[in-house]
Amino acid sequence: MNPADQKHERLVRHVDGRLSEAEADQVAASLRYDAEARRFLREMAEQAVMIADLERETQGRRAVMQEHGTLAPARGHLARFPTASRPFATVLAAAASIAILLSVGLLFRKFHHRGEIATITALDGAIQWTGDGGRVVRDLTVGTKLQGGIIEGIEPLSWFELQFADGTTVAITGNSTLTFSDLGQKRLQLKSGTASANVRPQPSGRPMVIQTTSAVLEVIGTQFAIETDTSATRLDVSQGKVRVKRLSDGADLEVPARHRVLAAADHDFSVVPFLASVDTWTSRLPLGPERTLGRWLPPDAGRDAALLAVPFTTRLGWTIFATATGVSAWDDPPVKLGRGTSLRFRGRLAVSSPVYFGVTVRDANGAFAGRFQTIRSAAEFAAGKNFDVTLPLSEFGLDPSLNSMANKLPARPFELNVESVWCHTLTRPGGLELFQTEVIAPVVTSP
Amino acid sequence: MILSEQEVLQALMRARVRVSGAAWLIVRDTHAAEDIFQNVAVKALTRELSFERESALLSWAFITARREGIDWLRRHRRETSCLDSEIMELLEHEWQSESVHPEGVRVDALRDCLESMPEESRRLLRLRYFDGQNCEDVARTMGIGLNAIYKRVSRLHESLRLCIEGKLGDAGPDLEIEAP
Repeated sequence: MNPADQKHERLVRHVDGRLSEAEADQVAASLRYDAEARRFLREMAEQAVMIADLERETQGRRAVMQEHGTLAPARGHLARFPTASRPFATVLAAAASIAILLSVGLLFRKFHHRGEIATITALDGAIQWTGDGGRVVRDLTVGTKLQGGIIEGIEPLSWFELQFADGTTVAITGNSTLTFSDLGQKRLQLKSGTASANVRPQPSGRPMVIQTTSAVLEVIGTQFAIETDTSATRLDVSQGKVRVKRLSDGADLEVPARHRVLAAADHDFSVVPFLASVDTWTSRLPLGPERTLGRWLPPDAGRDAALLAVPFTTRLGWTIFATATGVSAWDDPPVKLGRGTSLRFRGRLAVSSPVYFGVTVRDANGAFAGRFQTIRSAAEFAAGKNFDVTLPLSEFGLDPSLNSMANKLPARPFELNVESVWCHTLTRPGGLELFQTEVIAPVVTSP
Repeated sequence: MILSEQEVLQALMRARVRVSGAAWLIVRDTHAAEDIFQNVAVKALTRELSFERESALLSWAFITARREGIDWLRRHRRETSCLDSEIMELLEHEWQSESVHPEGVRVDALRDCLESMPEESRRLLRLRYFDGQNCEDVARTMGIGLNAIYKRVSRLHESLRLCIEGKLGDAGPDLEIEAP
């Protein structure tokens, strides 16, 4: 081994904390007088940081993909974002996280000792609020008044709505993180996730400002929905106008009612009208696991591509084994449910078990409008056999876990847009695999 | 003239890998090093500090990162074979004197270099620097002897350096000023 190799290896062992005292002294002496040894150590440190950055970026992308499909039974914001260009991705993500961090710090300073500015008006699943110098509060209920701070949905089923003093409401679903303040001007930061808002007219010169990692929105008074991750923000404006600035280049534009825009460094930044809704849809599992929940099994000889149910535990302590497929996406038209719509599920159960079939929906403004489900008994599913069930939407009722919010949600999912379709077994794994899901249009009978 | 907030943030972002690297040499944990860098950035912009020159900012950032690192070790009751402050100052001085390629370009070069490596090498680096395993755990996980891991890690760093420099067109170490 040449002397340089020996020296480098000793430095690796030093960083690993595996040198004897005498060896450590030798390393210290070498680092004092040998610029090459210091160069190697600096190089090792920088590479360690960059390797972790790259892995974090890879896992972050994977998490975004999974989030956008994974926790679909509850979250449902499954739009497919284009990927940021490579040089941008790391820098933007880091810059954005710091910008958010800094703003959060500034917000904390600003709202110290200030009064409550918002009230929780709807809540499902676990959420937590952090404010007042870093105090964390988890036992939040409808009616809780909050100072500015950070509010987070901390499980896939989380959904909550905040109402400001002027009646403006902001609703968040799934694992989202929202920082909010109102010191004469509402300022929100959506770090990730999905939000919809109904904004009352704001004071002249003080529009509500929403910042994400890729865009800044200025809102005078309107209804809209946004969805963001580290590299892109999707905005759908249903009423009024929203001004959007893309942070990557400072370009800005105004998005009128019934139009939308995607703000991302590597995507065309232009306003496009809402796509007309359709009434049919078929999952495309053979193409891959994008925007799905579950373990994707590729097609194999004699077997279709499948999604294998994966477990997650709800706030009430129940473990469900679920698969889901996101339906709503940037490139695809919304899928609207009619009174005569049916949902078809093709799959397989390893163990005979009751199966919960459901759909998560949003209203025309993009606001969360509930989860609706129907349950089929174990008798309908033989162990180890394929199943193929077609379920009329008229059989679907509001998920009982949302009963406390029933007065704010529609009783039936008709005329609403599909966010995701899902099915699960409860409490114990049934080896549920899903091959295909369809939304089947109402049958039109000629007079 | 005092650096604006924007200039402070830009300068810190340019030095992010170096400052985080310095923090890593203290804490030996890449995630903690990232947190420390963010704390440094927050302090730079929220503590009513002002810097007349980028060099003053970077000097402050390295010292602050070092202190944050030592605090982190105390809070987490970690014992590491810390480098003494004289050596850390030498390293920090060299880091401040470096003329570096933009971070995105270096990260891209590293990504390309990693992609050209065998999966086993990438796994080793991932276990060591992202999962935070010590070399003994890495050796156990990979079913390789500890001494072989040390050899591989040191060779991987050196070959990555050569690969990155090759991709960036560097002739050699990029120090502008002689090391003290």
